[in-house]
Amino acid sequence: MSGLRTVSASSGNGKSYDSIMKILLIGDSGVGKSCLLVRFVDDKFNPSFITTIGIDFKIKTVDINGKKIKLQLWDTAGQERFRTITTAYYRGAMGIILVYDVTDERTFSNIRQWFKTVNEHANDDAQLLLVGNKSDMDTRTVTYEQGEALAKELGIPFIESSAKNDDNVNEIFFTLAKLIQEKIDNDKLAGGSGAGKEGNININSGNNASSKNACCN
Amino acid sequence: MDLKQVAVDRYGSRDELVQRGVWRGELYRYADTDKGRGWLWKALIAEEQANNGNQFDKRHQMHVRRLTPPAVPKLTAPLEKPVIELDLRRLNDAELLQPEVQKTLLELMIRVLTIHNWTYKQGFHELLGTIWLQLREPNSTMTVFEKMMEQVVPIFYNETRLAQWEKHIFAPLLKVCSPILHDQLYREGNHTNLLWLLRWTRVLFLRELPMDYVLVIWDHILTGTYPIETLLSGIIVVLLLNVYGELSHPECDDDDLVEILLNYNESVSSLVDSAELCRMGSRLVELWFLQDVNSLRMICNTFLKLRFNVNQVDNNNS
Repeated sequence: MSGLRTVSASSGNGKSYDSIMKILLIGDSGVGKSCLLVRFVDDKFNPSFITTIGIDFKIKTVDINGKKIKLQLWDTAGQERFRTITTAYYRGAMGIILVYDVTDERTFSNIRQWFKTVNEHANDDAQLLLVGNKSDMDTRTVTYEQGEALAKELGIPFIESSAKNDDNVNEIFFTLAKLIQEKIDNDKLAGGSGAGKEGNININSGNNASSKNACCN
Repeated sequence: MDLKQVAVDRYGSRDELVQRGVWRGELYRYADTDKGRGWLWKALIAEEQANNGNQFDKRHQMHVRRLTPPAVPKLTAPLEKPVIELDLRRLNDAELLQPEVQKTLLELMIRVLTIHNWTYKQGFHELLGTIWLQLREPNSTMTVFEKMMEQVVPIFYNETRLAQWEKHIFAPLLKVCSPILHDQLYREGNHTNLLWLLRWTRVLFLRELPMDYVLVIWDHILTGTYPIETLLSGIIVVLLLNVYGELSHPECDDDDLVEILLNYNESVSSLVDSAELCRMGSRLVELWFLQDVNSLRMICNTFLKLRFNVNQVDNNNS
C-alpha cells in the first residue's frame, strides 16, 4: 500500500507522533481479534491465544502519507458486547473493526448485532471496517461473497485476512487508518462544515466508494 | 524446603499457619513457594472441608430427611457452554489442554455455575485453571474455586458493584495514601479506571504479576481475614506506588495511564516482594478500618522514600 509504512511499535510514553487514532476491534469470542492485533503489532502468532478479559490495549506508530500516526488499538473481549464499561469506550473510537471467523457462521450472523451495538454506543462519524478472519482455514463456512455482500449492505469496507499466515493483516489497519486520515484531511479542507466530531465518515451513510476501494482478495 | 515441610515443622495449628505463616509472611521467608501450594491450600481450607464438604454435598445433606425428592441442582449445560469450552481451550498451559483435564474443568465449571446460579464470565476459566494446577484433583479444586469465587463474583464480576467498589473503597483509600496518584488517575478526562481495574480484579492479578506473586496473594485471599474488596484495594494501592514514577510523570496523559496499567507487568521495573506486598496491603486495610489517615499517608510516603527516593508532597492534605 503506497504511502503507508510501519514506523515503530512502542509501549513507552514518547510523544514522537503527529496525531493519534483510536481504533477498536470487536466481534465474538474466538474470532481472532487478539491474534490480528498481535500479528500487526508484534508480528507473532499463537493459535491458542489467551482470552481477553475486558479490554486490552496496544500501540503502533505508522507512517501515513508522511505523517506519523500513533494507532491506539483497543482489543475488546468477545463476551463484553452488553457491558457498559467496555461499550463506554466505543464513544471516542475513530475506527472500529468488526471481526468474524469465516469458519463459524454464528460469528458472521452476529456481526449485525455488533453493528447495532456500535450504532448505539459509538460516535456517528466513526469509520467501520468488516473483517473475515481465518481465511487460511479449509473449513470455511462463510464465503468471500457473503462477507462482501454484508459489508455492502452495512455500507462499510470489507477485508478477508489470516492472522496465522499474515495475509492482509497490515491492510486492515492501514486501510482503516488511511480512511480516517483522508476524512480528517477532507474535513479540514472543507473547513469542518458538515463533518462530525472527529471529522470521519458517517457509518450510516452507506459510503460504498470506501467499500470498493478497500475490498481486498 | 517446600511449603508443606515448613508449615509442618513450624506451626502447630491452622490458626498459627494462617496468622504467622501467611499473614506475617514467615512461610515465604523459609519455603520454596513454588512447591507444596496444593497441600497448603488444602490445609488452609481443611476445616471447612471437614465440617461442610463442598457446597454441592452440603446442599445435598440439607435435604436428606425430606420426604419429597431433594432439590439437588440439576446439572444442565449453561447457554455459555460453547464460550466456556472455547476459553478452556485457550488456557495458557499445556497440562490444562490435556483432553481429560479439559473435560474435568468443564464439568467443574458447569457444576459450580449451576450450584451458585452464576452466569459464566470470561475470567472464571483462568481462575479455575490456575487452581487446578496447584491441586490436580477435582474435589479440592472445586472447594478452593468456590471459596475464591464466592468472594470475587458478587463484587468484581458485577459491573455495578465493581463501580461502587471503585468509588466507595478503592478511590478513597488511594486518595488518602497518595493524593498525587489519586489526582492523576481521577483527573478530568475521557478515561475510566474501571478498564484496568476490571481485569486486575477479575483474574486476581494473573495478567499483571508473576505467578509466584499471584499465588501468595491468593493464599491471603483464601484465609479470608479481611473482606476481599478492601484487601484488594490495599494491594492495588501498593502496586500503584510501585509505578509511582511512571504514573506521576508530568507528560503522562490519560492514554499513557491506561497503557501503563493494562501492561503493568511490562511497566513495573522494581516490584516489592510478594509477602511484603500483602503485608503492606493488609496494613493499609487495618489502618483504613481505623480511619488512621496520618499513619496511612506515612506508610506510603516512607515506602516511596525508601524504594524510589521520592518525596511525596501534596497540596491537598486530604
